[in-house]
Amino acid sequence: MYVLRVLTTHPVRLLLTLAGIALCVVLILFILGVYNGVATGSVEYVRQTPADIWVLQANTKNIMRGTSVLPEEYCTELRRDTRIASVTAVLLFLASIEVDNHEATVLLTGYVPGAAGGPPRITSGREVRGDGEIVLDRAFAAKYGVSVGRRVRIHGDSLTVVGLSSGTNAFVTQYAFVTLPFEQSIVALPGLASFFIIKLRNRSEADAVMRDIEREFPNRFSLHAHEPFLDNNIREVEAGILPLFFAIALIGGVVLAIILSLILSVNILERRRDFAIMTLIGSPTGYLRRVVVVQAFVIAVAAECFGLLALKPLLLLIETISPEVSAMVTLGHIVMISIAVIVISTLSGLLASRRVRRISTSEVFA
Amino acid sequence: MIPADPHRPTVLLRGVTKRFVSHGNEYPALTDVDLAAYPGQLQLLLGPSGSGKTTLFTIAAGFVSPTAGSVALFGNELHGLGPRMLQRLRAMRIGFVFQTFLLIEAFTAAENIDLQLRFAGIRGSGIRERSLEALDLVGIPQLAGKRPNELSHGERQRVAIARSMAIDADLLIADEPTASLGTEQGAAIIRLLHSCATEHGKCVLVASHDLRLRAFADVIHTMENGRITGTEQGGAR
Repeated sequence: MYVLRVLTTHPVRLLLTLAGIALCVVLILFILGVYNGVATGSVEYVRQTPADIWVLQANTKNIMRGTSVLPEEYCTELRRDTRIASVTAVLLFLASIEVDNHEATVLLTGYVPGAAGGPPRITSGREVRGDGEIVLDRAFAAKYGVSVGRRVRIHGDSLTVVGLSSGTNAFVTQYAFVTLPFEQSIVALPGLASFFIIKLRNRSEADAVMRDIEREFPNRFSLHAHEPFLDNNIREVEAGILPLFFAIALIGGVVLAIILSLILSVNILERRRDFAIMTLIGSPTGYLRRVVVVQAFVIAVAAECFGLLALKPLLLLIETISPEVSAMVTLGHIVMISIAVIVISTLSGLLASRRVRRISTSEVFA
Repeated sequence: MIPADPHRPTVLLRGVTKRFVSHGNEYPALTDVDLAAYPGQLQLLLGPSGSGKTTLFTIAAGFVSPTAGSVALFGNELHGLGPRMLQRLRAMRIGFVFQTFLLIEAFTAAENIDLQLRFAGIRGSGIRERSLEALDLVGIPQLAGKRPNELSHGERQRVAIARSMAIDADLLIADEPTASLGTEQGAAIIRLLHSCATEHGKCVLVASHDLRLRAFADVIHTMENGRITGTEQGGAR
């Protein structure tokens, strides 16, 4: 009761305090959400592609930051294995795209329409059916104000946007899908692919098929079953920009702890007369320390609730301003931050409560 | 804990000396003070500022240890009591009535008393009942829900006295209890403190410049430069 009375004595200060901590909570959750969004979005294309075996150039383990160039004709040779249901060539490279008068970069993905390697999900419109058509990532489209039916230009060629896709936002760039021949025509090197996607008749035969391909084409390919290949790509993403997000989230946590400690210290200094009176009339030291810790806890929990309430509108706002920034805040994040806030508030409270012991009753003796 | 016994001094100071050290220099605050205060007595300490009255109270309540001499409260030598025991002693048996009232501003009158009762180890719904009874005893039951800043100085002092009465404190330490009050309010507080001693059998130690208190005191000590320079019977005798 004392805690609530003291906190509500200065409502403006309380609101500022709650706003400061809530912003820290939102910041941490947002950074973690972006981390998750980037980590998930960057590999979503790989995750969703229905591949049993990924075939890349020798010594290339991922498509995130690995270069892979293969002659498309290998597809024909690989298809000879009767255990293989299909082999699809995909060509992938960064290309400039002109939208109205803006120039942007996309991860241009050339694939065979209807086969594997295309957009994981179409959110509006349809897949490409032939040259002169393109499917754009919906975040990219939102950012540049492009809708289905509009035209964009790549290397002087005009393409019609026939669909928008999701699961194709890799944060630093977004996937765009065209036909394989169109993309090959852009690089002026027909017959090239970045990788092949193999679908098997029986998935359990992946290891045996990979062994046989390696035996037949020694040191020519880098072969990966789907799950290990996905892991390779995730590892590659996590080794890149993602540690930075964790560092920022950590800094947010430290700022949160500092704000809490400062607020509590100021509060103790301001209320030292109360603490001296309580000591005088027989308060156990534990009670006073508990008051400070509970105060920290109440502030932190209230601020966290404010933060969580503010999170959704804030994410929507950021999505409107920067559609390519995909923050995926999960329940796990919220639980994790809740626990962290409770720990931080308790520790801050305990640290601040040490000041209580230094308050002497002589301060209230006349 | 030994209960209050009319023949046993509530407070007993024997040869108490207190010297404070600051920047390597010693400053005597009390020198060889002897004092015995009994249940049912109101003892008055008279003396100018800096004469040692407040230091004597801090030592009597166990907040400060004497440099020499001994202090006994309710028959217990204080030097033998640990911090927890001292805290319990203050919470359960000592009431404080100061010039500055010592009330928590964030709490109402009743809540201020509730707090002391909780520190005294009282739990449950009886707390509020006792607080209201105490406020009734000091004549302000209608002010239970008021915060200190909504009360007059005299009313605040009554709340402080009610707080002591709620725990049925055996010892009331009052430091300049009438200093912030007007003539009428001061007189009412003096009467109230006097009734604590005479009607409720409490031991009341008062430090004051207010000479009206002489008429209500059983014993009057005059202090000067940290010494008790004179002890006489008061007007209550």
